[in-house]
Amino acid sequence: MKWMNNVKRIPSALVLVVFLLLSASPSLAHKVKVFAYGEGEKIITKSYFSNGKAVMHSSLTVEDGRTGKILLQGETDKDGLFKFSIPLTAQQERIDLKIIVNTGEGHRAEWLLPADEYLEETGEDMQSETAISVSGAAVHTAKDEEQVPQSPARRQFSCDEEVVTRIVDDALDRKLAPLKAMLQQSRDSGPDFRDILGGIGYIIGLAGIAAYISSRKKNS
Amino acid sequence: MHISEGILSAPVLLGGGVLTVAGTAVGLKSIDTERIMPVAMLSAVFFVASLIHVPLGPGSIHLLLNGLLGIILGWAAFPAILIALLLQAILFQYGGIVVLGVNTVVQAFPAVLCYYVLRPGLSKGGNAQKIAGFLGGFLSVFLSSLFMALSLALTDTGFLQTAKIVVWANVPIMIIEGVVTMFAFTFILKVQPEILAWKSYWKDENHEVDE
Repeated sequence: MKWMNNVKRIPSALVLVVFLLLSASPSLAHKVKVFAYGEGEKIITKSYFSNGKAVMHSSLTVEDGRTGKILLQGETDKDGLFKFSIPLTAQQERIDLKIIVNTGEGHRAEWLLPADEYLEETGEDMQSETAISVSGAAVHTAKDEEQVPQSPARRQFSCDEEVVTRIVDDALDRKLAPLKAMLQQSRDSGPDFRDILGGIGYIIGLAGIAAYISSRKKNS
Repeated sequence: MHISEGILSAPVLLGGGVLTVAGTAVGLKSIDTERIMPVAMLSAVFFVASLIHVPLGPGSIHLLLNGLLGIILGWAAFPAILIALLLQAILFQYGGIVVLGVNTVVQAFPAVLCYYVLRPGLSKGGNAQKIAGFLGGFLSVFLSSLFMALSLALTDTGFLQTAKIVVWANVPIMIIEGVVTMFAFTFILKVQPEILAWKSYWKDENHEVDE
């Protein structure tokens, strides 16, 4: 008989174990997120589920944000990353890129990357600015030292300026990338305790309303 | 198992909405005053179950427990799941308001099917009951996957291919749900058999309650 009692306890023990195992991973349910940023000449996209896990081997589409024309397609790697160099047309026409990730089983997310955001990174404006200042400097030297051919030292200097700008830009991009990723992820951290309790509260409230209505019906 | 906004075409969304309204109407009719609380409680369970995440497969899967709702509530699973999904859409941004109809049908209809198919097995005792409980969890997720694939296929991609992805992705959850549903059901049967929707069926047919 004692043996029987022990056998009867097995199911409830198993329930406990299963629930403990399940609740041991405090992660969240399905929702897909994608975000993108420019890094130098490239655009990096990262796709992940709401629990932070990477979206692996899913199709990713880059569209023109206004017309919806597909610019290019790709697949995320095992870290949920997909990198592509900025399409020439996008660069020239300053197209806002819409990046869409579709996991194929009903989950889809999109992210709009405005042209200003990624083009500034490649420094098109910056380059033209430096070009102007360089040419300005060139004019200046030409005036000052009319007979003397432009000194190699000065050319060296102006060239350095350009290079330094680029190096600083690249370094900043690299250092800021994880920060951007972190910001993005913290912005949509999954449901918190308040939301969960709130939802349960709503359900109880609705049940109360239903009970009230049905009791009034009974009385009348 | 929430379909995101912006995937399905308008006719599919509309169809889902119509079916949900019909199912919810039938469900609400089946709820009398004493059954309001069990329905609300199970709605809350369903609402929270999606937060229990199983780290298997290439992505992430979560519990559904629609089978449990089905075999306990019958048609009342429709309003219970509708409310829970609405709150999940508003509070967690899972799914969405526009796809609410389709998502509800995808999860509630298998639940009701399980209720009808498994009721004979569930009202028996012993192992038949346990197997029926397991199948309640297993089948409901399986059917939900198929319905989901169908609603995706009706929009664009081929049914077989999508169905393969969705069903395979959900195989682990089917097994887990089967086990959870089986234990939850046998537990409820012991502790609180009166919350079962077919309690009356039980009395009428003079079935014996296990133990």
